[in-house]
Amino acid sequence: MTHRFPFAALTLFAVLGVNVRAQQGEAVRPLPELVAGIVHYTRWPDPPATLRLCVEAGDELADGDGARQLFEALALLPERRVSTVARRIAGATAASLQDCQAIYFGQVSSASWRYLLQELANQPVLTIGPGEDFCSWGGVFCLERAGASVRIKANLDAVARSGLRVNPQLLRLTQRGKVAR
Amino acid sequence: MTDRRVMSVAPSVASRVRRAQWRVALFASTGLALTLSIAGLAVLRGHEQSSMHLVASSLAIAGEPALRFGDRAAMQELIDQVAGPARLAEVIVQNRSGAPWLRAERPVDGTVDAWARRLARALLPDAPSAEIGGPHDSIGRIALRSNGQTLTQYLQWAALCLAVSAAATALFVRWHARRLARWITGPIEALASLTREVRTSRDFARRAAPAAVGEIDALADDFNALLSELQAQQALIEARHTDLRRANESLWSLSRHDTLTGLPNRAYLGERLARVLEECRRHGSRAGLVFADSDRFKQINDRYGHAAGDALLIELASRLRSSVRESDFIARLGGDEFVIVLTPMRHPQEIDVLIERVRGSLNRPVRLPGGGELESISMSLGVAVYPDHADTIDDLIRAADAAMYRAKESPQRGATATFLPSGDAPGAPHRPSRETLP
Repeated sequence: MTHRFPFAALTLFAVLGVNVRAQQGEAVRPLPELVAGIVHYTRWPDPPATLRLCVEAGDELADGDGARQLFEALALLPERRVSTVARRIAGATAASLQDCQAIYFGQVSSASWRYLLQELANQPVLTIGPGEDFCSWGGVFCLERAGASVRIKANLDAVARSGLRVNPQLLRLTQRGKVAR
Repeated sequence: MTDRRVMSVAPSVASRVRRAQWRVALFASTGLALTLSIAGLAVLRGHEQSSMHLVASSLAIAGEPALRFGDRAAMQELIDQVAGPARLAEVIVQNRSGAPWLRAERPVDGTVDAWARRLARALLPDAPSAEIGGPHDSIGRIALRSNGQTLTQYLQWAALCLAVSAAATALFVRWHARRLARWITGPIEALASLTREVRTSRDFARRAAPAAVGEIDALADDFNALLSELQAQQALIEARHTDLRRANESLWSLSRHDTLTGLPNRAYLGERLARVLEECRRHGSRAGLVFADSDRFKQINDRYGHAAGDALLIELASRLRSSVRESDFIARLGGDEFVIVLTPMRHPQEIDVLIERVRGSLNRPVRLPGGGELESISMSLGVAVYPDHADTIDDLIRAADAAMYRAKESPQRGATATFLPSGDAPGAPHRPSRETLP
């Protein structure tokens, strides 16, 4: 899954939608699985033995059913050990999140992540946040709820600058929605 | 019913050869085509299977995120992109638990497509499939079926090739059968025409030319041997025929000649006289007849023996023959009686010249076997002339005979008398009108 990808060609800021629609008789993919899937398709330039996914403490994925589902989804990923860590992300600095290879911003307010995203730019950190604005401010992946479905968007510029390698099939998936529209 | 049997003609060599060759060619090419088609189909099935497997693997890799994120539309789009070029009929995607997640089937396009799909399904009963996700992390499975277009295209090409090769074979067989038939029937027809010619011309010296085909060559040899035998037999028959004709001729000649002297006999004389008198009658010319009889033959015979008598007769015949002209005719009637026919007789004096010559030839000594010797031969001659003395053969001979008797009765030996119509009667003595000394 570590395909080479011409990131340079995609320096243009592009927000590409992936439309994961609810089909008849099919439940919407739960949020934990989406997050685990994005982690699955991402490769770090110098990965540690265990990846750390930092989640805003008190978020739906930090405890309760969400945390459990996320744990199960991450446990299914092959050849990859990912541990979830609950942190205070709102108001944190890049330095304090240095051990996080992936950060799920959850419902953190845009005021607190704008500065943080600037700090994390050009660093191999997978940032997943809510809404299109997240991508606009330099987030790598943004999830946008649209009724029952959740759209995944990718900021190809941020992907290129971060040095992360993302499965082209996933990027293709994010492009599809854009093209189809 | 019998008419039909008469009407049916035995098939020619050419048609038989063509049929036989056609059968062999058909058998061989059909067998070859079937074998090749089956082998080709087997190879093609392998290719189809591996190519379908490859397509399934590609789809599994490309469609993995779509399955993982549950994006059916994305998967459908992917399948739509691939299905046409990859010649897919149906794609089934199962999720991790094995339940069908997505089933895409292209609409059937006509009967050919339906049959092609059925053929593909029959050849590849197990749909080629691939796991989605890594080997340790299978999130589903993708299975697909070919629309069989490759197979039907192959079969169409195979059928076309079969038709073309059958046509080419037919043309070749036609050409080759004709050539072969010419090769066989040529010598046979030559033999048949030779037979006809030999039968009409009866020229048994002719021979058949050697043929290129062994059996026909042997037939020609046998035929030539038969001709040789016929020729030999013909020659034999001809030789026998010639012998018979010669024998016949010699018998005929014998029947008309005197065996002792070789002179014509009485029968021949009759024939010759008939011809001569007929000619004289036609031309109004004369013919003379001289009857000659030896005066002392009986005495000589008694005295010197039969051998001497025979020798005397032979000598007599020889002398008489040498004294007549080429055109004259001389015959021995029997015993010591000879007849000379003078023809043509243009002048009455010619008979006198003849008599003179005869007398001259007789007036020489004769040496007889057994030691006897005669100074001369004495003969009495009687002369009669047609038509002066007689009109018919018998009368002419009788007249000459009568004249001869008259000469014999004259006191002189070796006298000559000419027929006298007034006094001469056969066998009656008359005085000779003219007497000549021997």
